Amino acid sequence: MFSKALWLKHSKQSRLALILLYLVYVVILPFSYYNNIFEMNRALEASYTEYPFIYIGEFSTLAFISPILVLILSILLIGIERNTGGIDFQFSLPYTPRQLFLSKWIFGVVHIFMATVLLSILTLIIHYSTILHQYIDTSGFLPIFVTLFLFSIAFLTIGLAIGTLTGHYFSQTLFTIFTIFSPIIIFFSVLSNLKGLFNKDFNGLLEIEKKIVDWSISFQSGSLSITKDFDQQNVTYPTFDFHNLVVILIYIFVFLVIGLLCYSRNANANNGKLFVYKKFGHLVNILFVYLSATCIAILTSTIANGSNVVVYTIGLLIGLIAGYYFYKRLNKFFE
Amino acid sequence: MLKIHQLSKKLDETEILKNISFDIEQGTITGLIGRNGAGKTTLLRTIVGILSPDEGAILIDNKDITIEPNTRNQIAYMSDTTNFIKQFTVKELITIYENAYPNFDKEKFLDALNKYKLPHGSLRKYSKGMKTLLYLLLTFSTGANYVILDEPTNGLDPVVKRTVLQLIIEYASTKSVGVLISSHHLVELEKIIDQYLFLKEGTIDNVATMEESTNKHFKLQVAFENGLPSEIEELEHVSVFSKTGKVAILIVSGQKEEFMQTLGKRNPLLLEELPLTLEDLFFLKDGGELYV
Repeated sequence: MFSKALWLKHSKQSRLALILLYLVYVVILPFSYYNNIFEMNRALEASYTEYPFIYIGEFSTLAFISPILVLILSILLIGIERNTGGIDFQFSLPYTPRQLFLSKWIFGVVHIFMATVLLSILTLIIHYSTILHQYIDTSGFLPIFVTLFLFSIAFLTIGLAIGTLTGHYFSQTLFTIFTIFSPIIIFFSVLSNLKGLFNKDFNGLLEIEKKIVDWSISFQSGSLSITKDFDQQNVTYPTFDFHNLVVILIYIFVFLVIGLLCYSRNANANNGKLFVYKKFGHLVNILFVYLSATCIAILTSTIANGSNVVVYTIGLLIGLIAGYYFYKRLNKFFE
Repeated sequence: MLKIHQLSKKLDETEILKNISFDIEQGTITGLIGRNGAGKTTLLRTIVGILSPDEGAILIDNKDITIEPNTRNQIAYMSDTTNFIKQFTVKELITIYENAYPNFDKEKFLDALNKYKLPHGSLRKYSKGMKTLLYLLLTFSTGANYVILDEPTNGLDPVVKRTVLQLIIEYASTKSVGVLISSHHLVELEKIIDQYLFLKEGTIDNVATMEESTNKHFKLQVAFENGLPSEIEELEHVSVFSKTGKVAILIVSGQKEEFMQTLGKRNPLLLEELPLTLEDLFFLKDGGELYV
């Protein structure tokens, strides 16, 4: 897992994502935090009247960018090697699939950790060496960095786990994005089909929607911004959202287990194809046809400007056929 | 001993390897031959661990490598392509190999690098021959007792090819390494192997030494006034290697003296024995269809 041989291979393979990760964490973010001084000075010079409210939102931005960066990292660590022959070289070395998967995961985690630590250090240096510390304290930093760190690891884990199921980086990218949004996408598709086919509102299901949203990983880790209100003379700091952290930890655990099991079972097969496991590919096929049918049914219903069951059903049927043939072509392309 | 025991592997629902068993002793060179698509690369990739077997086991000194993964460092593999390693520098490759294989002999490797005048920098500046040579040196420097080589001489010029073959013999004999080598260059392979393993349609058709094969089969050049008699041509143990006008080359299985006497009775214009090569045996085993 900590073998220098594997780490050297991983770093060579994922160089681009690592450069981007460190560039954002160590250069862009600290610089952005530093720029708050000018906002602060402007607010102070204008006696708070013109700029009564200072918003330090770099960390929320990072919570949006970081998942994208770690997804790229996961694709470079596990997906791209299926198309470059790197997977054969890796499996020819005397390591077990379990060791190989864990080494990729730990490699990613360590780099996210190092980037987060460097970001924290630089933020604190900037904080204490500028006027920012006179108006803002550091109490908000711990929840920000801990949440960011775990949130990024969750996305890395999801990306890597999906990479063990997909045989091409194209399908890894798309299916990872789908997986992240899947609970809510599937819920809304079921809801819209029930509504379209039975022409009824199912408001009772909204409670379920809330539960799904609560227990799904969001693409943004929640508000990680610090705000200072000069009028009210107070500062709002992000705090630990323990429910959110539990969801993030569950995602990390579940997808780590999935990744380990799938990589140990059949890691180096069907490279270049959409999915490593044929049966799983059939399942995705069904899901794809179902979702594209739902999309087209909603679209036809919207164009027809009404809630007509017949129009919805026609749209659904067209979508089923179109989705089936589109997936078939897609599958053929990657055969 | 490296023991392959009842190995089977399916790819895309097609059974590529069917119940394959054979042994490789340390200090011997085994040639793996067969037509394109016979399953040679799949066999090598499964032995090394790139693919996992569906059935059967790979044992080193009676230890199953899937149950005891530590034994895996007793097998080193050289793939038929150097595409992936070309992104590394020599120093990086040394780091990878010395960390992956505990018995990697760095000093010997560096000596060999200097001996063959291979530069220490990036592999991007290497020619194909240099990359192959370096890959081979890395593989043999792992300290593994068994080395698996997939078409190591493909696309090499005669000088590099000769060096590669000499290197294989040198390491196999002096370091007592068991080598399994797959190649279509049968003329070269014949010079270095102790035994050959003929793979046909996913099964082992034959495992034998060249000596054993020459005792079983022989090659004759014959010429008859009216061409090769059809009753000779139709004999089950006779394979016609080539036929040009009056002259025919035959590969015959069975008793040499008896067959020579039969031919002699038909007053041939020419009857002489030719040396039997690995290529002849290849033709004998699987020379029928153009594609398999």
